[in-house]
Amino acid sequence: MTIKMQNINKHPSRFFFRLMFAVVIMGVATIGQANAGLAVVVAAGSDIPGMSQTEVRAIFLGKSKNFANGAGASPSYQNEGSSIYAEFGDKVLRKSAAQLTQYWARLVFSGKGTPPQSAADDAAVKAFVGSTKGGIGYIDSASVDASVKVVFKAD
Amino acid sequence: MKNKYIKGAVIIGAAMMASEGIAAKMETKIDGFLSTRYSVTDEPAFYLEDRNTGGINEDGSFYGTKLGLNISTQVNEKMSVATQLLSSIQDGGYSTTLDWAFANLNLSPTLDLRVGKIKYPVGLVNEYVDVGVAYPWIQAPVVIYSELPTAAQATREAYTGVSLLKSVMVDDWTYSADFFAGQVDLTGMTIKKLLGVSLRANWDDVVEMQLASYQGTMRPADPSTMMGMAMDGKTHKASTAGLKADWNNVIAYAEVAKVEMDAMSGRMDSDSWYATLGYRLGQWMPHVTVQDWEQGSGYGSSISTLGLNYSITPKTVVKFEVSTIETDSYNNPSLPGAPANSIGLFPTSAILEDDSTQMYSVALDTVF
Repeated sequence: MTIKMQNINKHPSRFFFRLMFAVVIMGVATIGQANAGLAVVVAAGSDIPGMSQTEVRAIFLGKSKNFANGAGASPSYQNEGSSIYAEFGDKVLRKSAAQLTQYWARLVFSGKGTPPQSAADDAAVKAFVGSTKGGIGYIDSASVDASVKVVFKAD
Repeated sequence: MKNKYIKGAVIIGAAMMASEGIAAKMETKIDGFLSTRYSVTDEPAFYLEDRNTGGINEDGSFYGTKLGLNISTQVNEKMSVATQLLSSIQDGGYSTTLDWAFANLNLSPTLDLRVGKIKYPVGLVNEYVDVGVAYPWIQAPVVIYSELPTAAQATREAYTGVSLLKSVMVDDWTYSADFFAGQVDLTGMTIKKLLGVSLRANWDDVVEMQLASYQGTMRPADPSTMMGMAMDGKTHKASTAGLKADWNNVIAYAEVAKVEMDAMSGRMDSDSWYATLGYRLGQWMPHVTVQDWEQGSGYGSSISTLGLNYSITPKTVVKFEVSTIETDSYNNPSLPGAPANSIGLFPTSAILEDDSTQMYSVALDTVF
């Protein structure tokens, strides 16, 4: 968009009205993006059907190593400390970051399990599920595209 | 003995690395924990351990400070191998031992076979008893979680043998049964022909219940001593029942243990229990614990603890505790007229100035 200075000088109130309108629209869009929610995704070509929250929790907490159809599952978290890690823990796993640390400490240091690997961001999760047999991860709903299939949504 | 453990760990580590060369996709993970603890009492006599082994008295002690390193690897889709090295204060210095090391074979999606040195599955928190971040206390309740000769010995640190672990999920419930067999190696004693079972029911990680029982045959290293003769070939058995709740901000633990030794006319039999209640207030968590232990010999102790935890980060917690340790007086029937002696969880050579001892503790627990 090119802004012509002479138009601004000619109609300053109209310009500031448009500027304010644009700011409000961008703000609403940003808020919408922040509240878009989470999508649990698998590879686009996967035959895994939709999943319940109980099934998602079982796989991401290491209680089940398989999808309901018997296929092996390979989950990926996002990096600890990221806002989406905390949001996924809170909304889907129903655990705070501290509770999740305790949960995995109990399993790791008794030799009964290891936490899923971590991906750096939504793009890394999409690359992981696309290249890993049984790969499953979570991303911001706004990042969903044709490369992934949504199996569970948390708003 | 320590060298044997370290050699074992080196062999396992080498096996992991060798396996890594074979399985290109195999991933080896290293995790660790550090629990730094400092305690001081108002009593000259040493609590839990003696002077040489770093017990706690009025001079203060870092008893219970531990560093653990954990290495695990998925060898293939069906098999994983894991080990943990534990460095702790022992014999007046630090000593590193092989805490556990075993191979896990996934026989089916709900059935695992484990072989090696395995954490003892008796007691709600025993399998991660050294990891302070994993529970609210500075030290797990000693009336149940202690292998000291003067304590109840309701559970053990680890056993060498085999475990068959079955886990089933039904809606939000997870049920598991762990059948285990092998032997326990202790200082001056081996428990042979060990057989046990641990049953757990877990509802959505909000409520967890455990029932466990085991028995074995005691074989002292020196059966010619009076104590050795009394225990050699005799049965040691114990049962525990526990309940843990983590609901909203409320944390609760309750556990009972019964120990029976087919020796010394029931003087080593004991009953113990504890209960803990805590409440999360953001990063803070105040909690209170009451413990009690009664032994057939007349020894016993009850401990009340007030604690306050602060989570610096999700992985690091600083803890403060004040405990009152009440020790039962004991009149030795073989010494009529002798003054009452108090022992409880103090070494048998201890002579207490007071039956009530105050202990102040601070700890920093972290995982990495």
